[in-house]
Amino acid sequence: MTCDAIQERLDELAFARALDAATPEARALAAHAADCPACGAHRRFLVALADALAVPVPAAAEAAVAAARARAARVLRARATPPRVGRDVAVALAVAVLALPLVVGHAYVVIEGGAWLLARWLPAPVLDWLGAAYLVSLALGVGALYGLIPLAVAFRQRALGGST
Amino acid sequence: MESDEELMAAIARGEERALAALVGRYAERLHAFLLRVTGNRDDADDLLQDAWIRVARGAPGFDPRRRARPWLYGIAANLARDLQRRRGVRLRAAHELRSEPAPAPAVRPLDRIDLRERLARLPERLREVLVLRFYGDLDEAEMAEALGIPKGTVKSRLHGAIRALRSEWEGA
Repeated sequence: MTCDAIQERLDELAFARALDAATPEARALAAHAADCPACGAHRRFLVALADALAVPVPAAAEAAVAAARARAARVLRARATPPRVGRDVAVALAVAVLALPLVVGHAYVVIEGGAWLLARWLPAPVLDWLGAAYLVSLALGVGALYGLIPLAVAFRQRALGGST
Repeated sequence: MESDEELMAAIARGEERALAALVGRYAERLHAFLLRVTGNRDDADDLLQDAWIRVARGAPGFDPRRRARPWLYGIAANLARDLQRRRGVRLRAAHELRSEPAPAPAVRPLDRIDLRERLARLPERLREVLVLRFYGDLDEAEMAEALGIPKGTVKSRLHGAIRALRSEWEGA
């Protein structure tokens, strides 16, 4: 066995904290290291390294372990419970629909009032066009707003899932 | 007693008692590993929580043919690496830990401190394998699995770390 190979074996013994083990291999390598300056220096270094790394660390606080266990358990439970996105969307839409009469009433007042005010200055086709444009833009705006509701609910569900 | 892999399968099915059993088996060891890598108890506590959350989330995707232990250490190592990247600075070294030094009659304390400082200054890829090997109790195959690198790379990094530390130690 070459010195390189011996030093690699010494590395392995050091990783296994077995440099001084009472095994035939450890004893043979120690005997070689005693006679070989290069392997001897390597073994001394490994002893120093193993010693340097042997500093015990404080045990984990029971509270830290309990907190980790509790949070992970919450994730497990959340995983087991399918998100109630459908119900949440329905509730959000129902609440939003409550505002619909107000929106429709407001649109009616604006169109009728605008037509009455502008009737003296603008021809009827222009008034019709303005009314239609207002209605379309209002419909698009309200549609986009209501369309965002399920997206917002799904986003919230995902955010809640991520924070558990 | 159920194996780690059986517990993982049970966690994948949502069984909390399996999660508690695996936490009981590994929380202390993972915490010690994280503490040695980060050198900071608060960081280790936080990362321990994140690690178990990842376990709970990732259990359904865990390949039952894999071993659970390297997978767990891989999660911990990744979290420690992510923390380091987020902070953009090297994590504090293990030598900052406040603990009782192990008895070492043959080695001067200066050597011990010096080596720990030098270990902390090693490139991350070298330090990581050395800490995992010494403290994670993983063999090279398991380390390769944990870190997602070939076994030969683990071996060369380990010996590279030893060589780098030794040359600094001898040059000191």
